[in-house]
Amino acid sequence: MNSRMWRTFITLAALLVGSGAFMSAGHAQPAQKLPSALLIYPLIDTEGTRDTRIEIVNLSGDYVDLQCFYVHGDSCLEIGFFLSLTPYQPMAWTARRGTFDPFSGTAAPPFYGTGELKCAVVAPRNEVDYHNAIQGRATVYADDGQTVSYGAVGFQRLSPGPYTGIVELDGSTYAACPNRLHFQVQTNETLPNELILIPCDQDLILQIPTELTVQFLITNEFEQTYSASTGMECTGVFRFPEIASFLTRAAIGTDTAQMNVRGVQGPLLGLVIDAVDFSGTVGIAGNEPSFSGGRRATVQFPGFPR
Amino acid sequence: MAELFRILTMLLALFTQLLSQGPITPFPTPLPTATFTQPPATATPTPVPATSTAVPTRTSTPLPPTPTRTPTATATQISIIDEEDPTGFSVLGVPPAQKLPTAVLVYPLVSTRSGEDTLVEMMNLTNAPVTVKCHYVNAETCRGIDFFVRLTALQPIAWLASTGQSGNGLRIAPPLTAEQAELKCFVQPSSTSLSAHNALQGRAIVSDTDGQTVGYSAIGFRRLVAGSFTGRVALDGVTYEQCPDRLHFNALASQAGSDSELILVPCEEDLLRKRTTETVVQIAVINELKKQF
Repeated sequence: MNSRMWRTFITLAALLVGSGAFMSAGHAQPAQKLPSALLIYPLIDTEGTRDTRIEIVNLSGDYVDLQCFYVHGDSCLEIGFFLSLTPYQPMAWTARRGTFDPFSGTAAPPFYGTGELKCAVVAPRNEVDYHNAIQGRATVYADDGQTVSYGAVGFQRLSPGPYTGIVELDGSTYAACPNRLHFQVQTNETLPNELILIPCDQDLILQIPTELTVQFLITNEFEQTYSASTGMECTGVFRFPEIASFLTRAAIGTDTAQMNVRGVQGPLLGLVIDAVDFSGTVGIAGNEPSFSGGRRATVQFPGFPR
Repeated sequence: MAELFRILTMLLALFTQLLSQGPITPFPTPLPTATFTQPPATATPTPVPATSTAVPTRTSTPLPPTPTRTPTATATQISIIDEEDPTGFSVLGVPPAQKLPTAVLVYPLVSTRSGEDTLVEMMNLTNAPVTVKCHYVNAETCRGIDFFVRLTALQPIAWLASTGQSGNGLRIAPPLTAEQAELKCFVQPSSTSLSAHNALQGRAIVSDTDGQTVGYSAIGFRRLVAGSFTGRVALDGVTYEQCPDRLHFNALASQAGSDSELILVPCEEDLLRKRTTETVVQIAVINELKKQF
């Protein structure tokens, strides 16, 4: 074989391998509003007069078992429980009271304080369809009638296999965590706008809180950008001026801004509670981010009985 | 020579396998560094993940197509009878992925009924300016008002539906004169590249004088192939993502002293002729005891 043919062969081989690597590099962010294998509720709140109504629905025609954990926002300590859903069954309970169904033996304990909830499908078979079965949402409400509703963040199972309690959010086994979160926020610092962040990575076996640095990039309506960073552990709850002193209407200069949020040590999930002044009356609403990029993380659940 | 041919064939097979495997990453990716970089100039579309259907696999009816990395041509979709499904039909197609930069935004509820108002929010998630063509569609008459919104790189914008928005002496969004409407917005890209289309995210907050608020994210449809914006948005799973075949709500039953509302808008719309079309809505309700209605 002559040298010209070898050069052609090597060039072609390099192109094939290189393009394959380029196409397969990087993770996709988790697609939402689809039947999922893992649901994460970033805000469960039973402080003071508040309570949270948690809803889960089985979107499949099969029986579904779920392994769920409340995680306390202060300590990262968890409370685990199991749920069983019949085909297409919706289920709801309030976090402060919990629930118990004597027919199925399904029970959710009461939860006190502020934290998050994670629920994973314990699939009876390896096929992906048996994992991707649930959707959920939550409504935080108070005595004054103000409510904050949001959809649980869903992660689909992407490849067949058994549920082991180790949920690899790597873009291969399960969908990856988002690399960054994009919020459109109100900048009026006199109103109780809040940002809630939780780590996507979590070890519920050892329950050791890890310190995270959170980076912010804020862009106002005039395309001016500002940056900030702060630290958090299990759950970060921030009023906007607590993130940076410039996060005020006067400093930002416009009523609304785009806020990009990224965790340095690991990916994050989160929610903003918008407070909006409608002609002198302040209303609050949940503000879910859009996602960009994908980043791997692992959620380790304590063992479950087979 | 035969050896060379065999090696080439193996490499081609590997390449084809990588093409078909979607988000699987045979090559490990480096962990992100601590530096926070400016968001990329292009809003990168992501491949649709594996199956998004909830169809039980025990039925004898053929499964709907699973999403693939590249858009596939879809023939006219025909409902497939499935006796195990609560609606009696199998789920068809792939719903639009949400929470991603999109080319089309649909806000199903914009209300300025007595005592109510709606804060409409939209943001450009790309590093390039974006022109957006929007239509308010009156909920009763299907007639609309259209207007343009021009966003600079990464710009967020918000306006109250009752008052609209002006800037630099120009009207950006007109006030909504109807009591209730939907809002549809379409990216008119400056180039035909895919990243120029998929640029937006949006949400809305409806509030009344009692302080009761409803916040929701606009439903997004991504452009799937490069090309120009013609004004005809084919939500066919090839040009743009498809509409969902069905919607699943976890709803509270109506009780004394509390009530819920369901708001529906047609995914298909002729904003040119503004024709009203009658649509039959099929609803299957399942309670916590597995009883279907």
